[in-house]
Amino acid sequence: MRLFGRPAKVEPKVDETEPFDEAFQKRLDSLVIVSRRLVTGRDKAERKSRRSGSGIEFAEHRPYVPGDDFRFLDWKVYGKSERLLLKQFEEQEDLCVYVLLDCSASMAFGDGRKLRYGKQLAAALGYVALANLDRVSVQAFSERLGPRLAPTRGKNRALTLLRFLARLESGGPTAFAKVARSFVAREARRGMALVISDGFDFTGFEQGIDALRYARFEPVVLLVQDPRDADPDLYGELTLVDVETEDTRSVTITEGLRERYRAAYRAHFEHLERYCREKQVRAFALSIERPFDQAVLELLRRGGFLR
Amino acid sequence: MRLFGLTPFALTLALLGFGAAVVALYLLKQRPRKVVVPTVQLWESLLGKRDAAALFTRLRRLWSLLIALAIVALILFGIADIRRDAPSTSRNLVVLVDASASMAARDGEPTRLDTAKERARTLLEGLGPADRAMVVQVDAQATALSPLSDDVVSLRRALEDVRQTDLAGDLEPAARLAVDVLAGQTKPELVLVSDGNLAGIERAEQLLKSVPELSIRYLRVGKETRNLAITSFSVRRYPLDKTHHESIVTVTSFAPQDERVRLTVRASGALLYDETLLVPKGESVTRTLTNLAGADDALEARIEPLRGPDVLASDDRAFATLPPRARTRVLTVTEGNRYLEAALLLDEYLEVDEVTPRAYKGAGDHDVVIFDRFVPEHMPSAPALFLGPKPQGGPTALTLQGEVLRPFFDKIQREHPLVRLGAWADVNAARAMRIATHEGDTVVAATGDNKPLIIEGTREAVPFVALAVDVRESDLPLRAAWPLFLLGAIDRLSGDNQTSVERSEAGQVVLVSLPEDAREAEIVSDSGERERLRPRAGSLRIVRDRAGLYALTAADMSARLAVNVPALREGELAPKARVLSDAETEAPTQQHASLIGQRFWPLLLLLALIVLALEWLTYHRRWTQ
Repeated sequence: MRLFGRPAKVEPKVDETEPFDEAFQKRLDSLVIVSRRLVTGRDKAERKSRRSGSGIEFAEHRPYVPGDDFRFLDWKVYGKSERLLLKQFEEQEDLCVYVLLDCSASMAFGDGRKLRYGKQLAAALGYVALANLDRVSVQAFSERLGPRLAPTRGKNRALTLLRFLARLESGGPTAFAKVARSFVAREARRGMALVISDGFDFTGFEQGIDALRYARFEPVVLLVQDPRDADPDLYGELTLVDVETEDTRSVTITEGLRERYRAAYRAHFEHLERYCREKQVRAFALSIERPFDQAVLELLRRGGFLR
Repeated sequence: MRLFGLTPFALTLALLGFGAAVVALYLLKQRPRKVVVPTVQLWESLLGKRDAAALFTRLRRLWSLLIALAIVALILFGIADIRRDAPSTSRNLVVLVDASASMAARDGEPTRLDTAKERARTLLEGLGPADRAMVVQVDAQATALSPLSDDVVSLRRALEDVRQTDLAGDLEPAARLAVDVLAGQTKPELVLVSDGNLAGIERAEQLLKSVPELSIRYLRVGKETRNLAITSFSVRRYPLDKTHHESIVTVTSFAPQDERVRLTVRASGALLYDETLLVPKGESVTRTLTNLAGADDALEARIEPLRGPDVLASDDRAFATLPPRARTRVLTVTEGNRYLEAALLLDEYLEVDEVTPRAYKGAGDHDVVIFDRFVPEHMPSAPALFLGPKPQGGPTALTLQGEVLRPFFDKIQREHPLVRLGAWADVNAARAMRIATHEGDTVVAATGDNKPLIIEGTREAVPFVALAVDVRESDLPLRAAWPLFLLGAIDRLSGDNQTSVERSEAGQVVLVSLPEDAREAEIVSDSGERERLRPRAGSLRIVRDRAGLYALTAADMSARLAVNVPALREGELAPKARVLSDAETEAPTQQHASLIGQRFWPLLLLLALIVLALEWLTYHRRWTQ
């Protein structure tokens, strides 16, 4: 026990355990089977892209600019309104799934259960995507972009994915807005951006989502929640130390203050979910106490990852 | 206000010390435990008004500190045992509870002592809040069982500690104690709870007069007077036949009428004597029980009034012990003396060896050496008896200074054990040797012109007895005085001289000689109570306050000790109407005793607990920190 001086610095934690053992991979395989049952009659790479292109399914109009292909001018609209609008179609292509995994210190807080859960989610969704012949890329982040798994395709790349995830380390504060801007600048190819985070980013998590949106990525936010964060077992006179920033705050925790904290915690996540909803971004709060495969199946059902 | 637990200086020091410690702890408390959390931002959002909260926190801290200091102060004042000064109206009582032998009379509830305790208890419960009392047990001594205190609970407990004894009551020590305690106290009172059968009353009265304004009360207990007691019981062995003994028993009646009692004497349960006596009221009957045999070491005498038990049972039985008999090894150094040999044959416990003076080499392992017409150059290693010493033509252990013709035993110490049983005045002898005496010698018998005839003393640190007359040249062998002297001298020189043991009474000191290697002795009462005693200088001083037959063991020695009730003094049971001339005898005034009285510590402790409870409550409600 430290009696004097500054609190012990929280060292970044390395997940020494191999989280993706054989049993885990079997569960992933069964997930893939179940996910296929959920989406019957689906062809390979049949996912619709948000990217407008030369597909066959109409997507939207846009004003004609010189140089556009005349074949896509909507003459019916011109006949009615004398406006030159170009028809755009959903482009049929293989989807690129980017997994942005929060590896900040707060994700490793406690015994690192949130980070482990996040890795499991990333592994499961990535594996399903690989099984569906989608491209999968993983990008770790904290206050800056961390290790990256370049877009890869095919189920035979699953082991590479799992090894990459297993090697990820945690540490540092979260700055998702900055990270998202760097990410969109680096990734030329658009796609689905699965953001897995505990949401403890008060520097602009929403701006990060907006940055993805503006760059025409399709963000999906998975908020990993630890019940112990929601209702910490703290009481009495304490100095709280932020695991990410090492900021301290002296506080006398009473039952009333704990109640107010629980309300603030709920309000924070409700705010994030509401923000995402308003921006038509899918967001899911996932408790780490829930088995990850159940959570993944629900995401597959409700999240529209598979069609 | 006065402090009883701490001095004012110590209290001040403790207040400062503990107060400083509490403040220091509060300063330490400013460094709360550090806990790492995933984010402080959420907490920060809840604790926005930092300055206002800090002020409030400081105030709460101050309150908390004040409460802690108050608790410390209350506890310290409690430890200091702060009390109100006794008001001038408060009484100071010394309650004397008689626990002497007569208080065991069963005419109380059930005994007089129980009644006395009950009356004293009533008295204590009637004390006012400012009154103080002390409980003293009175028997042969005065034993203070409590300090002068207003704590009724401890006083009641002290009263329960009053224990019945078989001692003779004496008021003087108690009066002396009461004077010491009550001197200078306000409203001094002395309460005597007794049947009045106490010695030393006059002296006590004189002592108590030295306390001004002393109020004396006598609470009388007891009503019955019918008592019969064994007031004397002793036993002795016959000098010439130590296998037999005789006893003397005296039964005294303190009853208001003539009584018939059955007297029995038993040894180890076997009945030796049984007789029904008529004891006239106020008189004594003595029986000498002769030629008894069969007892090893102890006898028990018991009386049973035929009209039914009397009120005091403890003096209805008495014990006496017989001195142990040991075989004595005697060496006679003689050319032959039939009178000596014949006399030695009378005691079957003697083992006699005989040598001639020429063959004499020393005492060997004999207990006594008898020199007949012979004096060695040096004293033997064992005690010696010289009979008709003759000069040996050289230096001898006894210095002989010529002859005394026709000596007569004109000067005799008649009470001396060597001669008290025989008639010596008209003994005829042809001559005697004149033995030079040394300082420390006892001349037991001498001629009219002070020429010693029987001497007792020591030479070369060895005890001896010398008879200057040769028995063959006297008419001593024709007299009983000769064997009585001879065997008495052997007993005396060998240490086996206890022909009778006087009974000891409770409270009397009995001195017992122990073997040299005895480091510890154990005494066991007839009820099985054991006590270990440590001897000093080879002897043991034993005082018992209960009558009975005790077994004493030390090293390889064992002995019995008879302790009897001092019945002659305690057998008279009629309660005295007045004991001390100034004493009043009315019932005590009932007052309500206070739980706290002059003491504050229970109140302070209670307050500390209340404050502690408040602190606990407010802490958990987070009103304080």
